[in-house]
Amino acid sequence: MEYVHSVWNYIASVCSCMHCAEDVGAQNIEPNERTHLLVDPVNHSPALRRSNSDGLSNDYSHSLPKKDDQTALSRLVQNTAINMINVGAMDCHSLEHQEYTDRIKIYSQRLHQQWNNVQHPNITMKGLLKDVPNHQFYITKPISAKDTLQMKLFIEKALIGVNQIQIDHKEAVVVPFQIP
Amino acid sequence: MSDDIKKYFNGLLKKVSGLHVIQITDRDGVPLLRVSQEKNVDFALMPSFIPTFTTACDQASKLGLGRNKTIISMYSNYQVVQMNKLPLILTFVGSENCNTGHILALEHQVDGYLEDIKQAVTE
Repeated sequence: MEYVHSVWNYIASVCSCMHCAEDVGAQNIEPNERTHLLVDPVNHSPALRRSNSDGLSNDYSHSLPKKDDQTALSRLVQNTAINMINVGAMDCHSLEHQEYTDRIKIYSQRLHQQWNNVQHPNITMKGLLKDVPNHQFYITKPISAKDTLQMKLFIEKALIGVNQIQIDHKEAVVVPFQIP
Repeated sequence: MSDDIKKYFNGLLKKVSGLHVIQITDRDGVPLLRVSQEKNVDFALMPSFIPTFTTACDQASKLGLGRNKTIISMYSNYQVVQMNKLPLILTFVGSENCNTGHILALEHQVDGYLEDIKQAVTE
């Protein structure tokens, strides 16, 4: 019994969904600011209007000016073209071989001219302390004898320390593999 | 001067291990500058491959991702990093295990030179 009940509920929900869909469709048909322009595209198309220009221009002379209508239409077409995901447009970008080679020549000529005329400012100087501000000051300053003495002392101490490093191994250095 | 620029870009190429090619093109894929190590990666330098990037950027932005600057394509043997520097496109081709972060970091080191190269395209 429960099973029949659940099936009935399901059918009811499907029906209500269809009803909703129909409602949405009906709402879309109702004129609003978007659908108005495309209600009767044949009558509103500029081509047809041009062909029957005498009759129609008199009819529309009281309503909106013709230009506004046209710009609205073209804007609509433009927006649609912009928003549409058009994968087929990728093929349109291929260049002719002749144009391709011509452009390569033009670019290389321009770059040669440009680089020969202008001394490039972005070449960075390579060297020590280039990232330290005012490094000239530190380089020109003489090192005092005390500092050199201290540095020598530290180096000697470090050398003695390194030489004194010894390793006392408690286990066998060569470990035999467990080969049967 | 052009030799200096080539040297600079060759230096960049050697900085990143596994990077095979740096190429600067216009938006139609016409090359302005190319430095490469000996490696056959012509598929990524085909005139049809690079303009696809511009179109893909444009079309992908409509999917809701917004306008992106870089597309990284990973293949079984290679990776291609393409950067939008309109009117130029910067393309890097590297091996599949090349450090992508290192490639992306080259962007700032190239920017200064791109300004000059842009002038050749916009003239």
